[in-house]
Amino acid sequence: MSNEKKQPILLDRRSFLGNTGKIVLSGTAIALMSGMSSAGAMSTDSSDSQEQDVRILNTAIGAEHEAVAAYQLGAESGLLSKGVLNVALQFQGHHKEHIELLASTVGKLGGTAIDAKSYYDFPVHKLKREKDVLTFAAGLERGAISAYAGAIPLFDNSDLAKAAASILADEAMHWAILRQALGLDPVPGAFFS
Amino acid sequence: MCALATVTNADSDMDVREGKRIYTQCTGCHSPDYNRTGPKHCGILGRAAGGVKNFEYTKAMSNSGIIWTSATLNQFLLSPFNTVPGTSMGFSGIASERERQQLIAYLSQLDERNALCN
Repeated sequence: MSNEKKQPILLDRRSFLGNTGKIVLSGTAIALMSGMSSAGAMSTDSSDSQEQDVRILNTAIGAEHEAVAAYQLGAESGLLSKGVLNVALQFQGHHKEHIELLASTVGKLGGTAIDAKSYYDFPVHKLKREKDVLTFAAGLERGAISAYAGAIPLFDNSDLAKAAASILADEAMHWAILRQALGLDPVPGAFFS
Repeated sequence: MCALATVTNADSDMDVREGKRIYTQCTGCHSPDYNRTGPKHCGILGRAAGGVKNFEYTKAMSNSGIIWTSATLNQFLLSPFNTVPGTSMGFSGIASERERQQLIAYLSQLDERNALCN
């Protein structure tokens, strides 16, 4: 069961950018995040590609830390009603789980996972009501969905595409819930663009 | 000439609009007006790579010597890893010249005249 639980977070969502970009993780990183032993997985990749993997994964970890901080900002804002606060903390928990797995993968690659920043440059001055916080969070989730939607067709590795699609679905649910809370149509169309 | 100018402006506006749509795919890491996992983009045209205050860049980016122009953005967006080996931007590039130009059109108007950047 624990493996099943971890499957959807094989890769961080924010490392996939652009509608024509390809994921550049090496076979080692993909194998490690798919559950292969590090000894077996690391036997074929050069140290250069592993260093590149660590950089990319650390960028993903940085984005996850940012998401955790954003939800923390919302939680501590005093602007969220109890029901919304509970949902925000649940989503924050997901991001923390992502960090744990990604950091573990970086460690197996011989790298050091980055820590959260001491300060995030959020547009705090724009957050005056619960609606503002929800809009901010929805924007973050939408960006993630767009990144995955553009990247999935370009994966060479079908397992990676499958995992990314699973994450996209999860993020789409986050986005839909946030839109619902904002009083917007949670599913605004048959297609996402 | 007036008709030609009107058509050109319309094309430019359309590029910016399309570029804004393409930019949503960057918003997992970037925002125009504040630093996130990636640096903010307001004022990018004419700025030195690695030049946003209070953002921690890789040495590769800081030492790249790049000044962001339409030409250098076009090159970088085509292939970030080849243009700046060692960048932490996990993105291998936009293959479509048209889409790169539209995205650059959007990025280029993120200047002091843009309400997002004030």
